[in-house]
Amino acid sequence: MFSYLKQVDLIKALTASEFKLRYRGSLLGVGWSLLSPFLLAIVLYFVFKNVFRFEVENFAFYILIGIFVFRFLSIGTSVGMMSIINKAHVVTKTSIPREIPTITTTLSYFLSSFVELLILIPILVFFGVEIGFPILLLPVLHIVYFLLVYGLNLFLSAFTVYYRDLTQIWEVVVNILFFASPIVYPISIIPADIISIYMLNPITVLIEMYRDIMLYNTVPNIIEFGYVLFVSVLVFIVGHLIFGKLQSRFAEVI
Amino acid sequence: MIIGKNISKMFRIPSERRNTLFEAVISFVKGGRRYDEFWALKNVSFDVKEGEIFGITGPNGSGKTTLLEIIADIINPDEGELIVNGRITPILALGVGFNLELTARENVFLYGALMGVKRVKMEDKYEEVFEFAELKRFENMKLKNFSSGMNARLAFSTAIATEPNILLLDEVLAVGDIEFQRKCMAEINRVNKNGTTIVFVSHSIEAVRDLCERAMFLDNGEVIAIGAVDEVVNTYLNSMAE
Repeated sequence: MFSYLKQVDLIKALTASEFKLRYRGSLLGVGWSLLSPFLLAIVLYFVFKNVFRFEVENFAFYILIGIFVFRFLSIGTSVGMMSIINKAHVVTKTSIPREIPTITTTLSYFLSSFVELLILIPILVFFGVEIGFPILLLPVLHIVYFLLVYGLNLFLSAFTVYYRDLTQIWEVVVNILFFASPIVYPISIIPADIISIYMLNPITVLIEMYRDIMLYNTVPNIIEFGYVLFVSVLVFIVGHLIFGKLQSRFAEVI
Repeated sequence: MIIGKNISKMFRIPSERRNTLFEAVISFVKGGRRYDEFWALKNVSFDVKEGEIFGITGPNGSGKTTLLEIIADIINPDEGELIVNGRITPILALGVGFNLELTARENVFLYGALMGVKRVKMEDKYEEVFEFAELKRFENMKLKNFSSGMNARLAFSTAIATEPNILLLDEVLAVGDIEFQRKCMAEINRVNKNGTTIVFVSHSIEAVRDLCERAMFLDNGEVIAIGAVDEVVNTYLNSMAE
């Protein structure tokens, strides 16, 4: 099931070329991928600040971190679910393990997203946010997050080979998740009787943990971290199982 | 060494298109899936001996490429079994995995990685690849600006330079001019002498006759003839004459 992970050279080479291609020929490079979340954050900030009148400390950065964290899931899965059908020739003409296109696409977005978060740190410091040693946990959180996104991508990319309209359905799911996670509002507005269900969403817990280390200079709660790790590893393994079941007829169906 | 025993492969050709979840639900409600069965390969047995050049020939639609896909472990046979001894090149069609936005140089290394060759070894072979392809001047050009002939030359040179145990070649001589075809033939013979087993698929009977010691003639998914190349070629020509 995991034997393809031994092909480190291949995964590295493909991820590097995918990453390089995304920014080649553009003047601003990574800058472009920062521009749109910034603009979105500004718009949402004004809407939720002035219309809904949420009172949150550092609300602009609160939203900004939420959006940057959520982007890995939204963009990573919308591109990742196309990773197999966009590389149909690799499936029909090579015996390279089918997980390879999915893992390289997910990895290249993992890197982009990590770089975006790193760029955010000096901006936060410049505006007076205190950042201390908890920030060292950023790579750990992001790797756990990667397991979750990659597991989802395995499931999504395999199903998309058989059912192309899954992309539209998933788009709706991602939109729901955006508002079901505390990105543009504080958790305190969630009614007490559904909060226990609300907190089951691993994205919610993840976003809160990123805010812990990037905004509040605290170490995340170990139980919350354990929960997210458990869900991520579970999704990662189930993703592999489903992918394994579906992949045998890829070359015929695609 | 490759041994195929009674290999059969069936494709389902749906009588109605069912590409979306929505259509799947509809056809599930309407009851049953409707498709026609098409046997692309029927009871095919063969063996490729170590160190030989084995030809697979036959008219279009005879199952040559399907068989090659089974040998390469891209699709699974429905019946029969396949025993492979040695490392088969993972790439069936030349140039798959090339990325048009990357330069020729970058693509050679990418292709090498896909073929499972270490970067260090690819660096050793690098000059050889470009010399053989006669594309040294263009090494830093993006592949999208290459002609299809240049593309094929680069792909062939890279594939052959990786020197796998078992090399699968599917209609590789279809592109490129006569001069380059001759060069390719010579190069195929050379790597064969160095110990690479080659399975050569072509509908060109001349190419098969010139290159291979033994061959197989497929028609409609069945083996019509298998054995020494001269006999197979005669059977082929006779069946075409009918």
